[in-house]
Amino acid sequence: MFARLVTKSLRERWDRVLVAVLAIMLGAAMVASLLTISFDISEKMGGELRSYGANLVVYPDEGWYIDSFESLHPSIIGWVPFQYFEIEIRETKVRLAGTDFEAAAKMNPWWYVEGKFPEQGEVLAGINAAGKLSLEQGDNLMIEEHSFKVSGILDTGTADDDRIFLPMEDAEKISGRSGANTIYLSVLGDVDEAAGTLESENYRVKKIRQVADTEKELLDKTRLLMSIVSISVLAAALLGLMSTMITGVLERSREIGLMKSLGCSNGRVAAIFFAEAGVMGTIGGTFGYAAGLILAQFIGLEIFDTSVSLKPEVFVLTLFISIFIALIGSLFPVRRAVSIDPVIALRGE
Amino acid sequence: MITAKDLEKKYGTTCALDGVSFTIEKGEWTTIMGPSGSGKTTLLNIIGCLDTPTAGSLVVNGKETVGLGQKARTRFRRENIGLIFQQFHMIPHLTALENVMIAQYFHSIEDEEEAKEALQRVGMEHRLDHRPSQLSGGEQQRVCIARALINEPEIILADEPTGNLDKKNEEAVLRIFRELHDEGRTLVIVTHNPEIGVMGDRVIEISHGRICGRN
Repeated sequence: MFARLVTKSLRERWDRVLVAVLAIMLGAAMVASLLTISFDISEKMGGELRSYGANLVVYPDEGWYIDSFESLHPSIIGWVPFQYFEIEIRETKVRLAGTDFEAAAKMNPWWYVEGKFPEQGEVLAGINAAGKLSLEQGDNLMIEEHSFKVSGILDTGTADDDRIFLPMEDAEKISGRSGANTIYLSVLGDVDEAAGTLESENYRVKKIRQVADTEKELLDKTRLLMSIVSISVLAAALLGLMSTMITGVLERSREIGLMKSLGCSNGRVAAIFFAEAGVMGTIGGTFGYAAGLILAQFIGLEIFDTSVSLKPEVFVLTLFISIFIALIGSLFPVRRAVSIDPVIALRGE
Repeated sequence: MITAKDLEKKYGTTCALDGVSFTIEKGEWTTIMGPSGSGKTTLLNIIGCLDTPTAGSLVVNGKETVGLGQKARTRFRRENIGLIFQQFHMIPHLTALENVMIAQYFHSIEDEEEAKEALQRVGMEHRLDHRPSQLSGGEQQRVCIARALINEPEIILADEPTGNLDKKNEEAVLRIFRELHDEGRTLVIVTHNPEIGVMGDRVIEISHGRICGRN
């Protein structure tokens, strides 16, 4: 009978129930997408951010060069060797950087190159350096006795704009030194632990704080923003459900009065309304989860360029929060329902 | 069965009942009569534990009900009283059968067969799955009588049970009351229909909250 009472009453007021379910669904969708982003994308996002630059720099001892570098820690997901040195070209001091362009392009995807990355016998001129030396794409540049073609102009908005990049072998020929004097690393995971391992191998290690901090900050800010939106939408859902329930109680006061006159206890009246709210919470939560997943997928693809996966724990949590919100939203209406005086309600006042 | 002593009910300065005392024996059909606003319904509500008096004593089925808390009054009403209203009062989205079963559910456990028998008794076996909106006033009142009887209460209280019925349905309802009386049930019926008054064992007349006549 209890189930019949609850389901028939919900069916009778399907239009109002639909509004409440939609309100909960919106809240649940936000929660589900937040949780999915937090659980699933957060790590992917970490990887994404780290791929937008190095978070660790390794130097050899003063005056030494690193001929071959090996990944000494599983968290190190990539590295780029650089050989930096200064040279005078056309009576202007210019900083040259020999590197592995394939690795450099991967680690610095924001590098904007007008032209193309250089091959053997070519250089990539930073936009400021090119300005100083009046270089354009396709020009020839003499560095000491070697002739190079400018394959492209690099615009990064960083100190790299003052440099002229060339393949490592060419840089080694000009400097007469073999190996790298700086290696930029991308670490996914515990940066401190990776740094410790490298230090134990007698490397000098410097963390790029700015990048690491920005990374964490952006993650936190994304979460904070989504949390604020989720809380706001949940609060709106709670108010929506509450007003639907209060209207329901007012409309049904004669029915509640009748039930009480027939001997229905306050506990049972409350149970009926809580059950109705629970059903609305469950339906809203389930559909909200599905909508949230679509939203999370959209956010994932549009912002982080990665797809999200289904997480059962997100479904359970979303459902739990939806039902909890529905029950909290019913507290006041239920209090009102149990306080109905059957004599007054049956008189129609 | 019911003993009232100096019952008083005040709403602010208005006195709805003023020193009402009477005794109703088990199996008696008592009709409470009086003009509108005389306090009949207030008295019935107090006997049915729906309302509480401001002063006085009321022993129903051996239990003093004055001073009982709301929870205890609900329990007492559930176990001892069957209520019939002038406006019928049914749950609109439940069928006739479910409207009877709901009283079983609030009392103990529902038994569909028993509920069907109760509806059969009031001649409503052909309308089990009909909603209140699909029933006539007389049919609704018969469902309400079945609902009032379903838990075998000691006392049946009816407030103007034929007030909204046509002659034919009034007769059908009164026939059921006569059967219940013959079975030895205690009936207390509020009405201002003198025809009903003469059908019972005794009449208590109320005016301005006081008993002004009895026979």
